[in-house]
Amino acid sequence: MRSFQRNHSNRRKMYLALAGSVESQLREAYADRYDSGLDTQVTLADKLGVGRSVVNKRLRGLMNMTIETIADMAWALGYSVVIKIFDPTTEPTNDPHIRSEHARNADTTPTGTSTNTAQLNFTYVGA
Amino acid sequence: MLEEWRLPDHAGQDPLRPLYLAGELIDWIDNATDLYDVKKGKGGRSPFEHLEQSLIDFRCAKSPSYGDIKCLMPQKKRVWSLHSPFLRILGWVPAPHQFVGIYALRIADAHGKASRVDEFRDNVLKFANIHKLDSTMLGGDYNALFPKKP
Repeated sequence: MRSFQRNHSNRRKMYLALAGSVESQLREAYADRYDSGLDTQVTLADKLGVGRSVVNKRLRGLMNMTIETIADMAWALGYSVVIKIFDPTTEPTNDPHIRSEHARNADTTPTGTSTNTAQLNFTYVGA
Repeated sequence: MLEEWRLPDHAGQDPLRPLYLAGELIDWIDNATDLYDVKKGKGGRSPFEHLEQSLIDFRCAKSPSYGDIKCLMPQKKRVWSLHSPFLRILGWVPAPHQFVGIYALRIADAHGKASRVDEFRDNVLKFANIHKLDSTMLGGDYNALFPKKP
Protein backbone atom coordinates (compact mmCIF):
# COMPACT_ATOMS: atom_id res chain seq x y z
CA MET A 1 0.00 0.00 0.00
CA ARG A 2 1.19 3.48 -0.81
CA SER A 3 0.05 7.04 -0.40
CA PHE A 4 1.30 10.41 -1.57
CA GLN A 5 4.35 11.83 0.15
CA ARG A 6 2.77 15.20 0.87
CA ASN A 7 1.87 15.47 4.54
CA HIS A 8 -0.60 18.09 5.67
CA SER A 9 -0.17 19.86 8.98
CA ASN A 10 -2.68 18.91 11.69
CA ARG A 11 -4.27 22.34 11.23
CA ARG A 12 -4.70 21.75 7.48
CA LYS A 13 -5.98 18.20 8.07
CA MET A 14 -8.73 19.63 10.30
CA TYR A 15 -9.90 21.89 7.44
CA LEU A 16 -9.60 19.21 4.75
CA ALA A 17 -11.46 16.66 6.86
CA LEU A 18 -14.29 19.07 7.62
CA ALA A 19 -14.59 20.43 4.06
CA GLY A 20 -14.40 16.91 2.62
CA SER A 21 -16.99 15.64 5.06
CA VAL A 22 -19.42 18.47 4.25
CA GLU A 23 -19.09 17.99 0.50
CA SER A 24 -19.22 14.20 0.64
CA GLN A 25 -22.38 14.31 2.73
CA LEU A 26 -23.99 16.91 0.47
CA ARG A 27 -23.16 14.81 -2.61
CA GLU A 28 -24.58 11.66 -0.98
CA ALA A 29 -27.72 13.55 0.01
CA TYR A 30 -28.05 14.95 -3.49
CA ALA A 31 -27.47 11.48 -5.02
CA ASP A 32 -30.26 10.04 -2.85
CA ARG A 33 -32.64 12.84 -3.87
CA TYR A 34 -31.69 12.57 -7.54
CA ASP A 35 -32.02 8.77 -7.60
CA SER A 36 -35.45 9.08 -6.01
CA GLY A 37 -36.52 11.57 -8.67
CA LEU A 38 -37.03 14.26 -6.05
CA ASP A 39 -34.37 16.80 -7.03
CA THR A 40 -32.00 17.83 -9.75
CA GLN A 41 -29.35 20.54 -9.67
CA VAL A 42 -31.89 22.76 -11.46
CA THR A 43 -34.59 22.27 -8.81
CA LEU A 44 -32.07 22.97 -6.04
CA ALA A 45 -30.92 26.10 -7.87
CA ASP A 46 -34.54 27.25 -8.22
CA LYS A 47 -35.22 26.73 -4.51
CA LEU A 48 -32.10 28.72 -3.61
CA GLY A 49 -32.48 31.43 -6.22
CA VAL A 50 -29.05 30.76 -7.75
CA GLY A 51 -27.84 29.38 -11.06
CA ARG A 52 -27.36 25.64 -11.64
CA SER A 53 -23.62 26.13 -12.07
CA VAL A 54 -23.43 27.54 -8.53
CA VAL A 55 -25.07 24.39 -7.14
CA ASN A 56 -22.73 22.28 -9.25
CA LYS A 57 -19.68 24.11 -7.89
CA ARG A 58 -20.89 23.66 -4.32
CA LEU A 59 -21.41 19.92 -4.81
CA ARG A 60 -18.00 19.55 -6.47
CA GLY A 61 -16.14 21.39 -3.73
CA LEU A 62 -15.12 24.27 -5.95
CA MET A 63 -16.36 26.84 -3.45
CA ASN A 64 -15.31 27.47 0.13
CA MET A 65 -18.84 27.44 1.53
CA THR A 66 -19.93 29.63 4.40
CA ILE A 67 -22.04 28.23 7.21
CA GLU A 68 -25.03 30.00 5.65
CA THR A 69 -24.38 28.29 2.31
CA ILE A 70 -24.07 24.86 3.93
CA ALA A 71 -27.34 25.45 5.78
CA ASP A 72 -28.98 26.59 2.53
CA MET A 73 -27.87 23.45 0.70
CA ALA A 74 -29.07 21.18 3.51
CA TRP A 75 -32.39 23.03 3.60
CA ALA A 76 -32.89 22.74 -0.16
CA LEU A 77 -32.22 19.00 0.06
CA GLY A 78 -34.68 18.59 2.94
CA TYR A 79 -31.89 17.65 5.32
CA SER A 80 -30.82 18.95 8.69
CA VAL A 81 -27.27 19.62 9.94
CA VAL A 82 -25.60 18.86 13.25
CA ILE A 83 -22.16 20.25 14.01
CA LYS A 84 -20.24 18.85 16.91
CA ILE A 85 -16.96 20.24 18.17
CA PHE A 86 -15.47 18.04 20.83
CA ASP A 87 -12.33 17.04 22.65
CA PRO A 88 -11.57 13.44 21.66
CA THR A 89 -9.42 12.97 24.76
CA THR A 90 -12.45 13.30 27.02
CA GLU A 91 -15.31 12.19 24.79
CA PRO A 92 -15.32 8.66 23.35
CA THR A 93 -16.42 8.37 19.75
CA ASN A 94 -17.68 5.45 17.71
CA ASP A 95 -15.90 6.71 14.61
CA PRO A 96 -12.90 4.40 14.16
CA HIS A 97 -11.07 6.99 12.06
CA ILE A 98 -11.36 9.65 14.71
CA ARG A 99 -10.23 7.17 17.33
CA SER A 100 -7.30 6.05 15.26
CA GLU A 101 -6.38 9.60 14.29
CA HIS A 102 -6.45 10.60 17.91
CA ALA A 103 -4.21 7.69 18.73
CA ARG A 104 -1.78 8.82 16.02
CA ASN A 105 -1.96 12.42 17.22
CA ALA A 106 -1.21 11.32 20.75
CA ASP A 107 2.07 9.91 19.43
CA THR A 108 3.00 12.71 17.04
CA THR A 109 1.39 15.99 18.11
CA PRO A 110 3.79 18.40 19.77
CA THR A 111 2.84 19.46 23.29
CA GLY A 112 0.37 22.31 23.29
CA THR A 113 -1.01 21.58 19.81
CA SER A 114 -4.75 21.03 19.78
CA THR A 115 -6.12 17.69 18.61
CA ASN A 116 -9.73 18.72 19.11
CA THR A 117 -12.07 17.44 16.46
CA ALA A 118 -15.01 18.79 14.47
CA GLN A 119 -17.71 16.59 13.00
CA LEU A 120 -20.65 17.54 10.84
CA ASN A 121 -23.58 15.29 10.06
CA PHE A 122 -26.57 15.69 7.76
CA THR A 123 -29.91 14.06 8.58
CA TYR A 124 -32.88 13.82 6.24
CA VAL A 125 -35.88 15.62 7.69
CA GLY A 126 -38.35 15.09 4.88
CA ALA A 127 -39.34 17.10 1.87
CA MET B 1 4.02 -1.49 -10.76
CA LEU B 2 0.53 -1.01 -9.27
CA GLU B 3 0.04 0.11 -5.70
CA GLU B 4 -3.12 0.08 -3.62
CA TRP B 5 -3.71 3.71 -2.68
CA ARG B 6 -3.92 4.21 1.07
CA LEU B 7 -6.44 6.67 2.49
CA PRO B 8 -4.88 9.71 4.14
CA ASP B 9 -5.52 9.84 7.87
CA HIS B 10 -7.85 12.84 7.58
CA ALA B 11 -10.28 10.87 5.37
CA GLY B 12 -12.54 10.11 8.32
CA GLN B 13 -14.53 7.44 6.49
CA ASP B 14 -14.29 3.69 6.08
CA PRO B 15 -13.21 2.52 2.62
CA LEU B 16 -15.84 0.71 0.56
CA ARG B 17 -13.73 -0.08 -2.50
CA PRO B 18 -10.05 -0.42 -3.43
CA LEU B 19 -8.15 1.95 -5.71
CA TYR B 20 -4.90 1.07 -7.44
CA LEU B 21 -2.48 3.60 -8.90
CA ALA B 22 0.61 3.04 -11.01
CA GLY B 23 3.77 3.71 -9.00
CA GLU B 24 4.89 6.13 -11.74
CA LEU B 25 1.62 8.04 -11.39
CA ILE B 26 2.13 8.42 -7.64
CA ASP B 27 5.69 9.64 -8.30
CA TRP B 28 4.43 12.09 -10.95
CA ILE B 29 1.84 13.55 -8.56
CA ASP B 30 4.43 13.77 -5.76
CA ASN B 31 6.73 15.76 -8.05
CA ALA B 32 4.17 18.02 -9.81
CA THR B 33 4.83 21.01 -7.55
CA ASP B 34 2.21 23.23 -9.23
CA LEU B 35 -0.50 20.89 -7.92
CA TYR B 36 0.34 21.99 -4.37
CA ASP B 37 -0.30 25.70 -4.90
CA VAL B 38 -3.57 26.74 -3.22
CA LYS B 39 -3.66 29.81 -5.47
CA LYS B 40 -3.92 27.50 -8.48
CA GLY B 41 -6.85 25.65 -6.93
CA LYS B 42 -10.40 26.65 -6.07
CA GLY B 43 -12.50 26.89 -2.94
CA GLY B 44 -9.45 27.33 -0.69
CA ARG B 45 -7.88 24.05 -1.74
CA SER B 46 -5.01 23.20 -4.05
CA PRO B 47 -5.42 20.98 -7.12
CA PHE B 48 -3.67 18.21 -5.15
CA GLU B 49 -6.11 18.55 -2.24
CA HIS B 50 -9.03 18.33 -4.69
CA LEU B 51 -7.49 15.23 -6.25
CA GLU B 52 -7.01 13.66 -2.83
CA GLN B 53 -10.68 14.34 -2.00
CA SER B 54 -11.81 12.80 -5.30
CA LEU B 55 -9.81 9.66 -4.50
CA ILE B 56 -11.23 9.57 -0.97
CA ASP B 57 -14.72 9.87 -2.45
CA PHE B 58 -14.01 7.05 -4.87
CA ARG B 59 -12.88 4.78 -2.05
CA CYS B 60 -15.52 5.77 0.51
CA ALA B 61 -18.70 7.20 -1.05
CA LYS B 62 -21.83 5.13 -1.54
CA SER B 63 -21.91 6.55 -5.06
CA PRO B 64 -18.27 7.15 -6.03
CA SER B 65 -17.58 10.57 -7.56
CA TYR B 66 -21.17 10.78 -8.65
CA GLY B 67 -21.14 11.18 -12.45
CA ASP B 68 -17.37 11.68 -12.50
CA ILE B 69 -16.26 8.24 -13.63
CA LYS B 70 -16.74 7.77 -17.33
CA CYS B 71 -15.82 5.26 -19.96
CA LEU B 72 -13.95 7.11 -22.71
CA MET B 73 -15.06 6.89 -26.30
CA PRO B 74 -14.90 4.58 -28.07
CA GLN B 75 -16.19 2.51 -25.20
CA LYS B 76 -14.95 -0.72 -26.79
CA LYS B 77 -11.40 0.30 -25.74
CA ARG B 78 -12.52 0.01 -22.08
CA VAL B 79 -10.45 2.94 -20.85
CA TRP B 80 -12.06 4.86 -17.99
CA SER B 81 -11.49 8.32 -16.62
CA LEU B 82 -11.88 9.42 -13.01
CA HIS B 83 -12.41 13.19 -12.93
CA SER B 84 -11.26 15.55 -10.22
CA PRO B 85 -11.60 19.32 -10.63
CA PHE B 86 -8.11 19.80 -12.12
CA LEU B 87 -6.99 16.35 -13.24
CA ARG B 88 -8.34 13.36 -15.06
CA ILE B 89 -6.94 10.03 -13.94
CA LEU B 90 -7.04 7.60 -16.86
CA GLY B 91 -7.05 3.87 -16.32
CA TRP B 92 -9.52 1.04 -16.25
CA VAL B 93 -12.05 -0.84 -14.16
CA PRO B 94 -10.71 -4.36 -13.40
CA ALA B 95 -13.77 -5.45 -11.42
CA PRO B 96 -16.98 -3.86 -10.12
CA HIS B 97 -16.18 -1.16 -7.57
CA GLN B 98 -12.48 -1.03 -8.44
CA PHE B 99 -10.35 1.38 -10.43
CA VAL B 100 -6.79 1.26 -11.69
CA GLY B 101 -5.26 4.69 -12.42
CA ILE B 102 -2.28 4.82 -14.80
CA TYR B 103 -1.85 8.37 -16.11
CA ALA B 104 -2.98 11.84 -15.06
CA LEU B 105 -3.99 14.47 -17.56
CA ARG B 106 -4.40 18.09 -16.55
CA ILE B 107 -7.91 19.32 -17.43
CA ALA B 108 -6.37 22.54 -18.77
CA ASP B 109 -4.27 20.46 -21.20
CA ALA B 110 -7.22 18.35 -22.27
CA HIS B 111 -9.87 21.04 -22.70
CA GLY B 112 -10.92 21.17 -26.34
CA LYS B 113 -8.07 18.87 -27.35
CA ALA B 114 -9.60 15.48 -28.06
CA SER B 115 -6.33 14.29 -29.58
CA ARG B 116 -4.56 14.80 -26.23
CA VAL B 117 -7.15 12.64 -24.48
CA ASP B 118 -6.85 10.05 -27.27
CA GLU B 119 -3.06 9.99 -26.81
CA PHE B 120 -3.37 9.32 -23.08
CA ARG B 121 -6.15 6.77 -23.66
CA ASP B 122 -3.89 4.88 -26.07
CA ASN B 123 -1.02 5.08 -23.59
CA VAL B 124 -3.22 3.37 -21.02
CA LEU B 125 -3.90 0.60 -23.55
CA LYS B 126 -0.15 0.26 -24.22
CA PHE B 127 0.54 0.03 -20.47
CA ALA B 128 -2.10 -2.69 -20.05
CA ASN B 129 -0.74 -4.53 -23.08
CA ILE B 130 2.91 -4.41 -21.99
CA HIS B 131 2.04 -5.70 -18.54
CA LYS B 132 -0.42 -8.27 -19.91
CA LEU B 133 -3.30 -6.73 -17.98
CA ASP B 134 -5.60 -5.98 -20.90
CA SER B 135 -7.75 -8.99 -20.09
CA THR B 136 -8.63 -7.30 -16.79
CA MET B 137 -10.15 -4.23 -18.49
CA LEU B 138 -13.92 -4.13 -18.16
CA GLY B 139 -16.32 -2.14 -20.27
CA GLY B 140 -20.03 -1.69 -19.88
CA ASP B 141 -22.54 0.39 -18.07
CA TYR B 142 -21.45 2.59 -15.15
CA ASN B 143 -24.42 1.53 -13.01
CA ALA B 144 -23.57 -2.14 -13.53
CA LEU B 145 -19.94 -1.65 -12.48
CA PHE B 146 -20.63 0.82 -9.66
CA PRO B 147 -24.04 -0.04 -8.21
CA LYS B 148 -24.84 2.06 -5.19
CA LYS B 149 -23.54 0.60 -1.93
CA PRO B 150 -26.21 0.06 0.74
